[in-house]
Amino acid sequence: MATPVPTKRRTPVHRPRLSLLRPLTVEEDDASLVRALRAAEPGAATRLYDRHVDAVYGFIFRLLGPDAELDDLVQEVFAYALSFIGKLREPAALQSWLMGIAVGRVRSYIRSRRRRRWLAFLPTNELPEPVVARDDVHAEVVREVCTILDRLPVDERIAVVVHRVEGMSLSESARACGTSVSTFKRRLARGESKFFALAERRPALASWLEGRSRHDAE
Amino acid sequence: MTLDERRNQLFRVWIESFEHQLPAFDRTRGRNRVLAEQRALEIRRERQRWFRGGFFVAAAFAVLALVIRLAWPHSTTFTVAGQPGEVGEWLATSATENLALDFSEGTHVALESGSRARVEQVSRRGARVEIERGSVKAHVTHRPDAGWRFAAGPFEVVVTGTNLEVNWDPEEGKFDLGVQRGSVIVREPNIDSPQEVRAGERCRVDLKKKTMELEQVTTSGQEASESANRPPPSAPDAVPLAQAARPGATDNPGRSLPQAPSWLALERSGNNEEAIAAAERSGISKIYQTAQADELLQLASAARLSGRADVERESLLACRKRFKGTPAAARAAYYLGRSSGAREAAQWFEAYIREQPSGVLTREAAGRLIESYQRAGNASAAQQAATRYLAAYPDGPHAALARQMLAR
Repeated sequence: MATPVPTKRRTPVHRPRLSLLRPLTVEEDDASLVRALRAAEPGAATRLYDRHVDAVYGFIFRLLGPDAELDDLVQEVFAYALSFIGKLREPAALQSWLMGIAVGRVRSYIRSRRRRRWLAFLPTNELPEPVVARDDVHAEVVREVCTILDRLPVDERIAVVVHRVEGMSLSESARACGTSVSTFKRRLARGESKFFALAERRPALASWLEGRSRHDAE
Repeated sequence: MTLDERRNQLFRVWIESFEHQLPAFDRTRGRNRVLAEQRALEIRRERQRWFRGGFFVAAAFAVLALVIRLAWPHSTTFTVAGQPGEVGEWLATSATENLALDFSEGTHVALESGSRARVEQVSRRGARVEIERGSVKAHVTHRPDAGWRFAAGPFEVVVTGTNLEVNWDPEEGKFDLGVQRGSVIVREPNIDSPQEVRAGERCRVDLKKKTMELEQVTTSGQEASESANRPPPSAPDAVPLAQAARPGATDNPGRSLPQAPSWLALERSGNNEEAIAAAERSGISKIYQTAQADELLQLASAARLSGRADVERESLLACRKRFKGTPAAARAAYYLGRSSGAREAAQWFEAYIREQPSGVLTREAAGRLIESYQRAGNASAAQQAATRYLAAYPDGPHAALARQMLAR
């Protein structure tokens, strides 16, 4: 069969060249993950865990310091999240919501831990194993910081960590702590003031406040 | 240094020290605990739901099934090279032969050489054909209520009565559609509004270059010649769409059947949990050592969807090891990044960007790299990644995050 010869149309078509204007999104964001969780899609719970466990674990560690209950607290956060995913009002703010759950769990744990210590002296085998020091300076800093944090009221401790260490904004921090911004700012100011006052009395931390590392002279 | 600067310095040391002292965490054990608890909770809830209304639901379904069976018109059926076709079954052609699909309502679809596609679903109004790669030509019977769709990657072509040709190259991200008769609508998530392509026009989309072009190629006798070429199913002198043969196929002359282990067939039909179970029964270690690159990615996908993170990871690592330097290995790196903890994820996304600097997933990898470093608490690396991201994708989906990182 002969190939037809192309001919021009009587009325030319004015169709502009188009270009893709929106970015190509092929992967799941937190909002889509929340939808998947609510729809009980297979694998959604695993994806939630895998995506956010490092952040939650690191956050709880920075709030609490070395503690034997870290793993259990992480599990409690995800168990709660999976059971009550329907309560999340803004699916895109999934990580902030998880951090808020973590704050609540840690707060409860610290208070119960303090009650236990007040009621009975802990036998030595219940204390967490010391962190194996990969670096003496860092291990010392962690020990000193945790010692100071343990002396702060729990809400002030949490305020200092979520805002100054985690880097959350004031509004994000207040939301994670379940309080107003003004209340959070008061707790933060008190917590920072006490922290620095105590830090000046700890040699490992005071050197940084003096503007040099204590190892500079070594 | 001012007092504030010294205090900020102390916080930096605090952050760095905690990062160094972060204890190792058994993610697999933790994940299994969480999932086990969730399953137990779901079982308890399910039992309560069943006792509340199970009998009534079962009765309602029985009535509905009867109504559908008696009153609903039958779906379209089709043959593949003369043999009854199966919905969901993947069909492939060799480099030299084509494959003919004929539908009961009169539509004819030709799978061109070197292509892979499947009939994903059928209805009384038509069918949905998924093109994994290659080229498909179709002569769709025109009916007012016809509902035909051709899916190619992120593209969907909606057809009511048309002669068309669709080409899709997933590796290059290139889509090519030619319409000889009638008109179609093309949809893709990144196109602002559905694009109509009319008879005599050709639509080409390049996802890497982010361009779409419409070209006019018209012939006065095109429609008539195309109608004459459309072979009736039983015509002995029809266009020679010979039998196709895929490497490893059986001697069955009816059609080219994918010679795949049973786990692959299950995965292709969407039975992910059964696919993983079948893979384990047949020796999953052997699959890691012998499967093709795309099969390993499919196994990883099935594992991910069925909650088997261990199999997903092993499949992807096997793909990386055995097909080093290929686009599939790079995709495996991306998927590993998506399923890993923050610190490891960053390494995988870096690997993808290094291996596929202009890949389809490069922008996503660059954005997720910022997130990974941020989650890992590595602010300086996150900021460097943010700077690179904004230089390359100032309007990308992660641009806001990148600017937020740099503003800190």
